Amino acid sequence: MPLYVKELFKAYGKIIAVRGISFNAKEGKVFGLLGPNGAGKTTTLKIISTVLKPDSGNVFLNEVDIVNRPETAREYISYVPEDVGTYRNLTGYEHLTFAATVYAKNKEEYNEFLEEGIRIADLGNKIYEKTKSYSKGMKRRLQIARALMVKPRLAILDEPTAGIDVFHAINIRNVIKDFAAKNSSIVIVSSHNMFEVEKLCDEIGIINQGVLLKAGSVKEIKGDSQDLEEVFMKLASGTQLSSEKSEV
Amino acid sequence: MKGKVRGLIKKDLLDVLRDPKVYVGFFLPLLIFAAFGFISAVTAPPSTVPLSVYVSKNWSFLDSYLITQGAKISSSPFNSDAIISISNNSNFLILHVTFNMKDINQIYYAKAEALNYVLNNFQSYYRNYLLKKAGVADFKIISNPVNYSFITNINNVTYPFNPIYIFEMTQVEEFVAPTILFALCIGMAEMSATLITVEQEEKTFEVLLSMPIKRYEILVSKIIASFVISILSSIFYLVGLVIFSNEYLSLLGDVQTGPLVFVNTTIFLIFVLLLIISTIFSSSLGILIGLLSKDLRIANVYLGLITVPILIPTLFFIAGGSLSYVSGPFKILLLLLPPTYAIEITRAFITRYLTGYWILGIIVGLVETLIILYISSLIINGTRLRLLKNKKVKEDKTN
Repeated sequence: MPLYVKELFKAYGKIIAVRGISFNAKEGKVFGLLGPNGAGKTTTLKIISTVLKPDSGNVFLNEVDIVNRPETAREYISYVPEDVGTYRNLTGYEHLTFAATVYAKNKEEYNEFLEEGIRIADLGNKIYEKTKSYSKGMKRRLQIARALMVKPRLAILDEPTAGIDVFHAINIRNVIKDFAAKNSSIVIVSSHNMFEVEKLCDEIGIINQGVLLKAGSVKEIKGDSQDLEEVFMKLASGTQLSSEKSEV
Repeated sequence: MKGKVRGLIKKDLLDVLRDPKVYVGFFLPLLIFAAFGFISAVTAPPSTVPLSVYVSKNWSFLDSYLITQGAKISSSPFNSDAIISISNNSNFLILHVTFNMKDINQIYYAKAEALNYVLNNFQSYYRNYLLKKAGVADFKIISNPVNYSFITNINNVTYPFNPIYIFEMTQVEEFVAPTILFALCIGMAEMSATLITVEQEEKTFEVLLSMPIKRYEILVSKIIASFVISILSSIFYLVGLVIFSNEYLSLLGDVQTGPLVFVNTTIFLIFVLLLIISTIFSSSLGILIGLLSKDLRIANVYLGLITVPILIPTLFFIAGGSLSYVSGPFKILLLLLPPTYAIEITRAFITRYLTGYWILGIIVGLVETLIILYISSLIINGTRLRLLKNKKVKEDKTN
């Protein structure tokens, strides 16, 4: 069930956020959208996750038309926005039960989701405490567990490790990679951290000012360059758009 | 050090004052004062009120006195404000006064005041008359020659009190019930707005929008959660009102007993219905505000703004206003505000008279709540939410 993103365009009034972005992502792989702040990554992810409608363009998850049939698409999608918080007075366990209730089709599946969520979150007994006592890293793990436990065909994670310490970031990256491989699911992540993308993603798309500059495997993108940073700087310097400034 | 503090102050002032919504908060007291001034003017009793008195036993002495005081002598007891019958014991003159009123409002209050003024003066007037007459030497009779007994008749419910006493007792009720209702409605709006705004601030709302949950299910769940809390709050309000009424209004005596001294079941049940509609209306407003607000600061500014329409009927009834005595655009404004009806009916606790506005209140409350929820359902859409937020971003950039 691959993901096809075709010619996405999105503007907020005069501000153009996304200008004709197209890419494909394969099952069992992690696709990374790489770009600086305000490049259009979050808008693209919001369109794919059905939170936003594009002005034009299409997104297909295999046969499912995400743009025009979002209700159907949402059955297969899980989304973690950047810096998403939690319901402060609910426990981590209650967060997971809520997600399981929404996605599970029967009791067995509900229990299976919950068990998986507890495993991914890996919060020990803290899972039964109110999330207002959680650190940022714990909240992030809980949200990622909430998204992945329901085994979505497409998981969309906006800056999954932003603001998290190295130890927890490694842990989260491992969880994401394992999830994609085990479940043959597509994972789309966004990041402005070149190192992270290189470690986590099988394929990447470099995006700047709403334009996808290049997409392919990490190896293909890097080519002869030392690192992704160098590639990005080269590509970005060639796309100084003269029209309205992008804003996301 | 000074430079740093100056820099910090400048930063804070610019951050706050460059947000145009903050000025709404500045203008709020201005609006409230203007509204209060207008309501006070509307509800102020007229400087002269026509007081008609029917004297059951023809006694020209009293009739002529009343006429000199500006009262009109009525030929029939049925269309008079007060009926005075006279009896004598061996030493005193006794005036039995029945005061008739249809409503508890400033007009009747002014009439009751006028009647009391006239009757108090009659004491000295009659004393002078006796002193001029030979043979009256008893000091007690001379100092207090007239005794009064009062009955206040409110829509065929009689209370053995001077009407002024009824007004004094009910003024507290008139103040307490609307004020607490106002606080309840504002509290409900704030709670609902917070419920949505926090979701937006924490971005959990985006998660909900991406889940296989229909938009209307999200809205309905928010509404039901707010309404459950509204109803719970209403129950606490009612319990508080019963305790208050039991403790305070029972001071009127043994005429009526029971927790809610004057209330009959029908009036009470209609009040409960109007109370719930008012709180649900307020919750709906809160949901709309939450959807329109990017963060709690903006939500609080909007909440401040909606206190004005809820405050208008509160002030109006506290000031003794009556829907029967207002007209024009102000009356339309009052009739468009659902809390008006819940507050208005608290008067019927004492008058036991339903004005009929409650039917309109149910219709207005439900229709307006549905309109607000319909608008909310249009907004509870990712694209629209994003556009609203983006508008805010552009405003900030412009500033």
